[in-house]
Amino acid sequence: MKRKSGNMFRRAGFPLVVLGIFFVSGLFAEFLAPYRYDSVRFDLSYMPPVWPAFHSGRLQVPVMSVSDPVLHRFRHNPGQWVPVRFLCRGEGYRWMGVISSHTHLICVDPPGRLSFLGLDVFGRDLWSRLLYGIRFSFLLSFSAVSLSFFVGILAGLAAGTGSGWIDQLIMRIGEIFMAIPSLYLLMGIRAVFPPGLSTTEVTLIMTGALAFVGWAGLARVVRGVARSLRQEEFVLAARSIGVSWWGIWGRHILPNMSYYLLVALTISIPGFIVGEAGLSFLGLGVSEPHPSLGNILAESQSLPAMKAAPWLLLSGVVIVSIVIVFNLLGDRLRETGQTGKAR
Amino acid sequence: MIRTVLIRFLHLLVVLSGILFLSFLLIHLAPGNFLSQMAMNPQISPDIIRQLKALYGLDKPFYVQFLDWMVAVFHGNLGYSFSYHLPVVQLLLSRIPLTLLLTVSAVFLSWGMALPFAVFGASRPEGWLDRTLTAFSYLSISVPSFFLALLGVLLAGATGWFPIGGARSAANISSGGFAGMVDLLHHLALPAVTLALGSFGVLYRLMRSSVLEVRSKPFFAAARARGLSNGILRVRYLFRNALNPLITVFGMELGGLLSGAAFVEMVYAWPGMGRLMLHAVMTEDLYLVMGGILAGSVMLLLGNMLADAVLYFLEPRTREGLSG
Repeated sequence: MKRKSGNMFRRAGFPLVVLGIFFVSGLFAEFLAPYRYDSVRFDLSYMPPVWPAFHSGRLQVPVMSVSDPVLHRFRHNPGQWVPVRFLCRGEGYRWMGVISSHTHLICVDPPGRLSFLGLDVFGRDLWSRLLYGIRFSFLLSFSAVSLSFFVGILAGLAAGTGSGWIDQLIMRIGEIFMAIPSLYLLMGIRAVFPPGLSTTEVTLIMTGALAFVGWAGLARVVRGVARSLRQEEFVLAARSIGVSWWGIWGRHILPNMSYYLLVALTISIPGFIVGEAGLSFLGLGVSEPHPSLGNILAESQSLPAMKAAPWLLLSGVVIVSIVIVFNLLGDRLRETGQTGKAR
Repeated sequence: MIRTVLIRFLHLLVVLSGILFLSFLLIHLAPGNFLSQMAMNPQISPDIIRQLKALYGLDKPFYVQFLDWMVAVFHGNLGYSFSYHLPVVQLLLSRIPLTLLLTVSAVFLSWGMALPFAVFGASRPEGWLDRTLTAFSYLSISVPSFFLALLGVLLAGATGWFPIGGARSAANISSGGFAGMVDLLHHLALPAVTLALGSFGVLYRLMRSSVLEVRSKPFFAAARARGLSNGILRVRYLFRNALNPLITVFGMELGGLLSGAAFVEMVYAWPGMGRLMLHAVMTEDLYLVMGGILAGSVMLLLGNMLADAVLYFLEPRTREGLSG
């Protein structure tokens, strides 16, 4: 068993490392981001990336100002540089809404502005917003996935081990959910609630909606595995000594499909991340000023915005990388599982 | 055979009524109804609201309302859209053909690309063609359709090769015949290719593994040993046998495609179902939302049935199972 898990982590190394980077950057968004997600600079709308450079012996950022507000051209104010400081005091924040702090990894004093990836229409820092967006997407999709797995596993187990009519009922309900194209169902659920809700409310609704849409597929597969496991002798033995179904689920059936569930979890997370991003992209999810990967991408929806600030498309690149990494991880885990079985 | 078809049909009816119930429940759960707006108007007396409620049956218990509504739906009446001031059915019927056109052309494009490529790619596994296509399919699976569509808009904006927005140019909106057709295809090209590229990946991976499996079968080795030409081997032996598992997943694929089509429609402003739904959700036009859900599900169910029917003709083994 030990050897197998060691093998698993060696094979899944690369995607796990990348995933870890995303995870940590989302977790410490406040610290890693030089600015808050809603810290605006209206005079620097659509400023392109400006990187710190060595000037007169130390790392400094050139101070920029608009030279053409229509075409969003910027020029360096001659001779004006602002030094870059590390582990410094910047805008105050509460880490994860709990711990108050002022410390940022990197900051510059106004009028200088750090802009690693460019600014958006309100002069908000894309880099900072992406960090917050990654945190939000992860948080939302992980909670939606957990909820959906909870319901899906419970329904699947009940259908797989229950009597005929319970099985029929749950599976027919699941079929109804699978017969509706998922985006249509998501939009339908969103339509029940009035537009213009607070971010917290929308987050809860989206979590619920994504879980509501996603449980049926999992329930179906769990049912299949539970069906075959219930024929096994150890289940029959447990039944014969009077172990309750709850006990059998927890001790015999779930542990036997845990690896499978791990793989299923890994490959279903991208769907939830894309689902969240899609809804926010359409304006049905999180709304301004709160960033999510989807609504940052939505800022670049018009051709003029795309031409003025092509860097806003980077949030799409982030979505794609997260999805690729999860898919890679899922594939590696699946392959390891298969070779493990063959051995 | 007839019995199986009947059971299938009954099954379909059950699923359809379930969808109807679910969408009705959604509307019922939504706060207020289409009279709430009126009820807030001080110039309309509560009496009139009560009369209107009785007229529309809104004072009846939930299940009676649901049954009334079911009857109406089976008579082809899906209610009235309060944002478009048109019957929902009429709106849906004007949009469904465009969504179908988009989806069906994407299906043809993606299957037309993925299947032949998979046969060639899998004939030399881990060769350069296979590696390239596998990497490409990874990308295709991972890029969300709305992002791909944005890139498409960027392409169209940079090159000016494709028109963006609508299904027809304003200049020849009414011109029929050949010119109108070309115009429509010109507008269709980019959305359809975007959608097709998005579903290429899954199809390629499935077809590749299916082809590899067929290649490992003894009958294939036998056919090869008899000295059949590569062309015949590929078309009659590989393609033909590897196809069947893919038809089974067509239904699942179609669900994703319809959702993807909705995204693509919104980015390219293609006037299909997806855009209609989004507008309905934004304006809280609940009957239209419900009609949209219903229409989307019916398209998906019909697609599934079509796949079953095709499989029935292509795969003798399913016929064997059906007669029993």
